[in-house]
Amino acid sequence: MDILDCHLNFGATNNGVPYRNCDTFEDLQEELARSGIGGGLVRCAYSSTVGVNYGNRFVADKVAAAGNPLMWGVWAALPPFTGETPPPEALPAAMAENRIGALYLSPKTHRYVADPLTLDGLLGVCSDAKLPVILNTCYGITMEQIYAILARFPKLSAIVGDSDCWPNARRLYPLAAAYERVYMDLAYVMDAGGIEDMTRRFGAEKLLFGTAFPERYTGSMLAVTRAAAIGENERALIFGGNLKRIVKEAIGV
Amino acid sequence: MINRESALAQAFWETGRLPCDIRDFHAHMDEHAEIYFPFSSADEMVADMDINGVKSLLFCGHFALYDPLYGEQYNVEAVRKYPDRLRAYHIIHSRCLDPEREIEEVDENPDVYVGFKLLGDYNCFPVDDPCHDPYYDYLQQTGKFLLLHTWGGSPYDGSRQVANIAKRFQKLTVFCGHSFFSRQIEGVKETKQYENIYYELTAIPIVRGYLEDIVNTAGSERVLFGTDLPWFSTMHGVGMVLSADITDEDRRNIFYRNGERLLKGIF
Repeated sequence: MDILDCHLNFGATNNGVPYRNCDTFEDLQEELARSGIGGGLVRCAYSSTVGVNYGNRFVADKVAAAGNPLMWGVWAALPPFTGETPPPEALPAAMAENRIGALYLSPKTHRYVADPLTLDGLLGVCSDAKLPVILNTCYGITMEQIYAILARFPKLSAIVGDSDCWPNARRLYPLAAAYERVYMDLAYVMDAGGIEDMTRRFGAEKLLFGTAFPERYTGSMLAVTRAAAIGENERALIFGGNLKRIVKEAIGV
Repeated sequence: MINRESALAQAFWETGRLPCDIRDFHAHMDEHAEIYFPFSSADEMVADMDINGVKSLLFCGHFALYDPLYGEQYNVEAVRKYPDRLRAYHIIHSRCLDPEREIEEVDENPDVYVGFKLLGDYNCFPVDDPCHDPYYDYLQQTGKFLLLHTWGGSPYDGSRQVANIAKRFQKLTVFCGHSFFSRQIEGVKETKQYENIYYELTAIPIVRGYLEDIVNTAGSERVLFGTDLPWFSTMHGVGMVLSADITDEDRRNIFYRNGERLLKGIF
């Protein structure tokens, strides 16, 4: 069974966050080998702390060099008006070429307004091309912004997470219920019975295993998912089958 | 596999269950206004304990935690239903104290209560205030436990307040819930000279590295497993302990050895 993590980060920081960081891609690979995680979506923190292109290039180079067919990079996406990143129409090909499995939005850090004027051009392309977009409050997007984006793009392939873990369900369940292509990042779903409850309500096809490493221990969600009272087929989908499917559907690799 | 360097982790991965017991020292029960719980009743929590290999659980239910008038009866009902698995902490509401009555309740129901629980941050009231002395006196004399919510930098239940209690009640057994979260090294350093102080792990899993800080500073013989069930899945804490950079001997101390020593004669 492939274990693929939809929520991995690396990249040195200078502010003590995360508490015990993972500075390098090589350190990340060591942790994955130690914990038995075969790959997943990898974001480089530099795309938020240094520069978007700096971080995006960094992760693409590292993922290409690793040669792991089950590992994909994550790029920060910017609104197209300043021309700092490839135009939306060029994204599907650029992501496939660079093994980028998802984009993430961070309107607070990257200082733009997450409204239709700013984002519709970008998200329209993502929605049409089924490019996975990470909408996670841990990267500085609010739940209200996530709700508004999905109301405008109900077919968007979105990997949604809420780092305000309590009250997670009351905020996340409406999205899982309403939108067919919303996938739940389980990294912050740590409540007792949470995975079982979400599987029963929405189906395992909408759930993605995640750890939020290095902010959190990889072992926590590995143990929760391993021990969850769900079927083995459901466990296999959550642990990796779903992520592989939605990424390959988007970029073909 | 979680951790290729740990035999315990590998044994867990085979079956989804630890090859040893778990003693949980910090849990709750029943609904809470701020969150949806997939389960929270005593029946469901004991069923969850069975699945996860948790032999015993010490708790204080939410109703007691927030309702100083009528909440405590639900703790009693739950323990009486599952006397082999559950024990309760009687809550202390610092702004609604009735030491004579409350101590009597604990004293007359040894089959239910293992001690008291106090949440200084929730009451906005320092835990070392002398108004709590009758409770601490009683616990010290009887060998029962005090579970404190402790948080780094808190003016109500930070390390200074806990050290003040320990200094005055040196035979009192204190469980520091959350282990002074966010200032865990400083908190342990300031209190570990008192040998009856233990450090409990609820909330610690959400920051990678905190567990290693606590074990390296206090020694694993002073660390107790706890979950805040149903806020946290038992497995979330188990995974942290298996994943952290500590030894399997440390893990066994945390999961059950320290707990069994403290609970001797209770279950």
